Amino acid sequence: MKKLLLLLLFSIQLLQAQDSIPKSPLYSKKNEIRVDVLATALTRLNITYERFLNKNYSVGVSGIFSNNKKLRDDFDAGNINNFTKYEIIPFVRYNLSQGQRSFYFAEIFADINGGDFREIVLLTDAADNNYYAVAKSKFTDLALGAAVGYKYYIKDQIGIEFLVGFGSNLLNKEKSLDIISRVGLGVSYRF
Amino acid sequence: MKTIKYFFFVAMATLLMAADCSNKDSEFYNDVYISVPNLVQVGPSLIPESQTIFITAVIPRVLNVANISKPLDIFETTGGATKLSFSFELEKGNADGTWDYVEFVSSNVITSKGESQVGSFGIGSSVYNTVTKNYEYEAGIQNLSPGNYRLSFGYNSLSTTLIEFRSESYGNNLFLNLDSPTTILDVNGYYKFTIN
Repeated sequence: MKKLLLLLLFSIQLLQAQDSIPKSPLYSKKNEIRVDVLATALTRLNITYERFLNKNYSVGVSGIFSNNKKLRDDFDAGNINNFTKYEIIPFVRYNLSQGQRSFYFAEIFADINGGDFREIVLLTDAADNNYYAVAKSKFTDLALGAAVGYKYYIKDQIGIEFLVGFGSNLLNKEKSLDIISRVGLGVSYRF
Repeated sequence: MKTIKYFFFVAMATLLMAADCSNKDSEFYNDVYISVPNLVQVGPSLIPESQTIFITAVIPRVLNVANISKPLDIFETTGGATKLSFSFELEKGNADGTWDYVEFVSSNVITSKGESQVGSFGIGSSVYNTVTKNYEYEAGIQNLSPGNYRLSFGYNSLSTTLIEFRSESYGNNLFLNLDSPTTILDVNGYYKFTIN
């Protein structure tokens, strides 16, 4: 009986001790805005909003917009036949680690992407002769994919994130890219 | 926890490799390929004493191309390219049966139509004639020392049955790659001749 009482007291003390461990301030900051510096270096704008639902899950959406001159020139010169100009990427993330200040995560995402496509077509002129010409058109597609990443917070506010993953377009592969890559080095503000 | 980290890094490496290998962005989308036979003629001068070998390539602006229902306007296709170029090489036979490449000098290639560039190999350009609406090239290879020669087409080309033209297109206009299967070459891709 003595032993049982001692065990009970010890358990209560342990629970109290656990309660007294200060919770990370990050728990109370549910929102985050992030800019991808890797994309910025490549003259693409990549902005993300992420909402933390609990200690394990978060959801968010990224917007990527590109008007890269080199890509545009390559597209016009025919070195590439696809110029993706925008991507809207809603995602769900799961925290793979115990911590909140630094952790690995896995994510699944959808990627609505669109831009310009070029192809060589055979046409007929006024003299009823054929000739080849470049025809440009717009495309839109939906990709599904997965990614993994690592996030680290400085002073519970400024985050640094590395992300890598890929997805596959599903609806319009004749014009869109087969594979969408999701690679980023982000700097974020959590509030 | 360690297992998760290892899994994480293996997954990252796999994803990076997969993303790197599977995109179709390293191709070229500005080239058109067609095939029209016997656009080049090679032969000796009608005056045997002149010891000259003529190369002639007259290519109409509008060509009949297999698998295309109507005649193809190559001038319009290339956005008005004024030249279609091809290359050729000349070798001289040695007594032991080997062949040495002949370095062309300007007096070796006399061009009456179109343009020629000479050096370790020759480049012939059929130039668009706005009156005849043909791309035209005619040049004579002459002033060669006596011996056996063999002429072939396509610098660094492995083809023995084709003469390959490429348009000199400007800006973002399409490039035309015109392959001309020929019967003037032997099975090894040579036109052989002798200078006395």
